[in-house]
Amino acid sequence: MQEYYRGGTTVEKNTNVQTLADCWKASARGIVKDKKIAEDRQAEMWSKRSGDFAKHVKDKSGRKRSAEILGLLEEAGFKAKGATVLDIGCGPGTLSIPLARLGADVTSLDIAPGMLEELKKYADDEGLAVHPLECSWWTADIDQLGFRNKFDLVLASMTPGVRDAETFDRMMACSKKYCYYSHFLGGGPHGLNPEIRKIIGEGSEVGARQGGPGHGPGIAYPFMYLYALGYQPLVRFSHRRWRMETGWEEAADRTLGFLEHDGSCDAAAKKKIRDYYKARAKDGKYRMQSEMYTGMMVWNVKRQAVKRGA
Amino acid sequence: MMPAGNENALLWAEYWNASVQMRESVTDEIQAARWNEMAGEFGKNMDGERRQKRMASLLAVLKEAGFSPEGATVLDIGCGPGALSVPFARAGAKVTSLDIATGMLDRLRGTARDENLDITPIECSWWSADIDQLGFRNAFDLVIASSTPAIKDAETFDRMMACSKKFCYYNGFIGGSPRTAPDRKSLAGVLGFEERKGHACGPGGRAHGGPGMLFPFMHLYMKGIHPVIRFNQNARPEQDWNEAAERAIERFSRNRELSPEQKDTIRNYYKEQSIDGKVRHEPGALSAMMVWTVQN
Repeated sequence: MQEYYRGGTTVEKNTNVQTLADCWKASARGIVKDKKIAEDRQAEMWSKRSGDFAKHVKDKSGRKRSAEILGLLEEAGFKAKGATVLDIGCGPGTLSIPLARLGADVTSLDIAPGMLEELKKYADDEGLAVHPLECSWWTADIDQLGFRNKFDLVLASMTPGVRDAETFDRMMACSKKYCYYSHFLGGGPHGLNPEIRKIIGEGSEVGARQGGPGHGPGIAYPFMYLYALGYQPLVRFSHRRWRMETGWEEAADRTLGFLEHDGSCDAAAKKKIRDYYKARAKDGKYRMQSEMYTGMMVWNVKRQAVKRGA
Repeated sequence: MMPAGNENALLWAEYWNASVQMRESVTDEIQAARWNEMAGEFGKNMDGERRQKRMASLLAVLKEAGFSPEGATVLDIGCGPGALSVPFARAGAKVTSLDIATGMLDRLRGTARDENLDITPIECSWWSADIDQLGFRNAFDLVIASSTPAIKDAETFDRMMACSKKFCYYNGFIGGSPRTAPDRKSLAGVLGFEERKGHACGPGGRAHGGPGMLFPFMHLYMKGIHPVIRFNQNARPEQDWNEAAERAIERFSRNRELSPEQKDTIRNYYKEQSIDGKVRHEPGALSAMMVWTVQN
């Protein structure tokens, strides 16, 4: 009854989910060519940005944001006290630290040693139960790590670590109860500055993909995938706007870092991008207004509401 | 599941609208002209067998949900030449077919006349349609919007739902194709023609300028509606290389004159790729259909 058409043959209904998984994987194809090189590049880039990120663990906007997430987790029924938590792509501990403060035992995984250094500083200062682990989620062996079905909550917050159905399934396999996933909303208005997009070419996949290079397609695929599997996650959106001012070189480097990370920017384009920021700087400072839409979802891995002809 | 005051659903609608505003501003007139230009050939590429299977799959999903076409009233928004209107009318439905392009409706009228089908064509832009004046509110058993730019934002999507007393069907693209040979240059690229970008879409899936699947689906979910969803890989079957080449020559010749050298380039392109004389096409973009019921 629940059949659909694919490539000239009729296939069984459970390929419905697989079809979406294949498409998801394909959508991330620009990100990785050689796995090892890609992982090294990720580690390096994120380590470089660790100082910037670490500031947000304690500043006002960062605290507000993590409070929002903790509220959503609570609404779903999660209690931090005494819970075991795995934080995939933990960064400097934006969520690991507040969760540990509430009494959770947190395993914090990241590919970037620089991020883990920042995390350790916070954890040691406050004597928190945080266990840093340097590891790429793309190639993590959860059985060897002893992670399968082990944690009360598994987090993947705004991380490129979870980038396709395989790494998403792996995340779910580590949880015995809750999962939390957040990402940029895909397909929307944010992303690369349109002017910069013009410089690197209209047809570029970098420009087309939302949520920042290296991030993949945002929350769209994970959400649809989860829905097709029969889950009904609790979903929240968030929209933030902010202004910031940096040195023009720093602003240019950040954009170049993004693009390089995607491996799609030649020397001429790099020069144009630097010129772009330089020309728009006042007293050496570049001012920009950013906005970001993100989606958050929480679900219980043991509670598949409906088998949707998955 | 829904937060207080539906703020979350509103935020999603706002996001959808913002992403529409980012795109080029296309007027009703531009839209009508574009589709009229394509009216002669649109939808002729798909072979009969594939179309029938797609329709059978749709009818199966609708049947499962409790819809039967016999005697039902159907509104087909952005009907084109009638890829769905015609089979629904053949199955006994009374179909109102709306499109912005006269050329598309002319083709549909021809088919309806030839087969004596109960189809009422209406030339109208859905973007500015007044459903109360049209008498459409809450008037149809099933409302269809299949891969059409007529549905472009939360407003036009809600308008679609408001016309239904029971069932809705929406079809849209999800993402680009999972390419099996990503390094292979496209034929258009080899010939130095402009590449067709319609299907190279992100997760928003905006082929044909429509909103794809993501926005409408998420919009429904945030309203607490959980549609039945089916994914569909738009794959073409294997072909003899010379047949594939002739089809491509015919396709490219529609809007330009091909030189004998260019025709040879096309033949070589397919010949070089062929294995045992057969060409395997890249899988097409992934699309999805969803069916849900409304309570207006």
